[in-house]
Amino acid sequence: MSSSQNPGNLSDTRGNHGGIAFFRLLIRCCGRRVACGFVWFIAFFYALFDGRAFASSRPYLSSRFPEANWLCLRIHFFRLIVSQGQAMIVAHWLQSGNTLPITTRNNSVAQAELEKSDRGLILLISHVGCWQASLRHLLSFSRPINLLIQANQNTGTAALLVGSNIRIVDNSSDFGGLLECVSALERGEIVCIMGDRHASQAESSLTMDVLGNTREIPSSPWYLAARCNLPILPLFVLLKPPLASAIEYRFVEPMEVKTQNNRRPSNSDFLPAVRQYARELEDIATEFPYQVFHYSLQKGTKNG
Amino acid sequence: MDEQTKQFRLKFKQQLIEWLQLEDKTPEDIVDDQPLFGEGLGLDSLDAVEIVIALKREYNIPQTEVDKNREIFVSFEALADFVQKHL
Repeated sequence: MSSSQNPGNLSDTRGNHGGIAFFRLLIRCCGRRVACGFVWFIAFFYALFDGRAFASSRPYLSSRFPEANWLCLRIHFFRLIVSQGQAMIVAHWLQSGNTLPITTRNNSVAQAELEKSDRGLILLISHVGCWQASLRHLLSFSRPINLLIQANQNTGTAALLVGSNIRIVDNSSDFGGLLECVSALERGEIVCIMGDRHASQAESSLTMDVLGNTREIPSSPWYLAARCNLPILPLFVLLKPPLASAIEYRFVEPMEVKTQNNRRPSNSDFLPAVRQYARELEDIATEFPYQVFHYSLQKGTKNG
Repeated sequence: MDEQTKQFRLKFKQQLIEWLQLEDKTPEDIVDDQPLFGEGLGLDSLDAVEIVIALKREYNIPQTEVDKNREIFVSFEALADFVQKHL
C-alpha cells in the first residue's frame, strides 16, 4: 500500500532507498556518531516542509504535550523526526555488524518464559525507539525468530536484518500470516508482532486508548496468545542519548490473556491485557517522548 | 457421495458453526463447494486460527499437517475431505 493510500504509514517517505543509501555511505565514511549528528540538519527540513508527517504526528504530540502551542508542537515534531532518523541509523549500524553498548531490563523474564516449556514466545514490538534492533538482540535467545509485519517499504530496514534465524512473515499473505505464526509457536520459536499499529483494513483489529487517543491495533497477537495458551511479552528498544550511543532492551512483565474453557476469545477478553500494554506505552512516552513513533490520521482522537 | 461422507459433512458443518460461533448460520447455509474465506462463507484469518486449533483439539491433526496443505481451506468440501482422511 502506498503512503497516499495509507496516511498512517509514513515510513516509506522517511526510509526510502535513496535516503538509506546516502546514510549508509555516510555511516561508512564518517561513522555512526557523525551520521546521527547529521540527522539534526536533515530533520530540520522535514520539520519545516513535511506537513503530512506533522499532521499525522499531531494527535500523539498534542496528547503528550497538551500545553504546547503550534510552534512548540512543531519543535517537538522536529525532535521526533531526529529521533526516528537516529533509530534508522542505529538499525543500519547494527546490520553492518557493528555493536553498541547495551543494557537490558527484565531480560531474565523473557529467558524464563522460554525456559518454561518448549513452546514458543509471543513478543509484542512497538513503534518505539529502534524496534528493528530487537531482532538482533533476540538472536541471543537461540531460537528462530519470526517477525509478522506488513511487507511494504516499512520492512526495508527490517529486511536487512533478516538472517538464517530471522524470518519475515508477511501479514498480507494468506490468513494474515497467522497460520505460520501458530506453526512457529508450536515449534518453540519466537513470534514478534507489531502491536501498536493496525496494518490494513483486512486485518482484525480492536481499539486501545493511549494518552487519550484511540488507536486501532491488531487483535492477532492477543488472539494467538489466547489460543496458544502463551503470555504476551512486550519489548521496547530504547535509544540512549547522546546521539543514540547505547541501546536499552526493556522487557515488560508477561501479560496473560484469559478465556473461559474452550470458548472462542473475543475482544473483550483482551481488554485487561491491552490496557496494561497501553499503560506501558504511556510510561515509555513519559520517559522517552521522542521515541514513540505513533503517526496516525485516525478519527476519534480526543486531542488534536 | 456415500452415506458415511454425507453424515460426516453434516456433523462437521455443525462443528464449524460451533467453533466459529456462526450463530446466524445453519448447516444448510454452508455450501460444500463454496469458498470458506473472503467471498462465500466470509471467514477471516482469526477463523483460520480457530479452525486449526479446533482440528488439533478435536481430531488430533497437527498444525504442521494443516500448514503443508493450505489448499484445504479453499472450500468446505476440501476441508471436510482432509479431516475425514485423518479419522
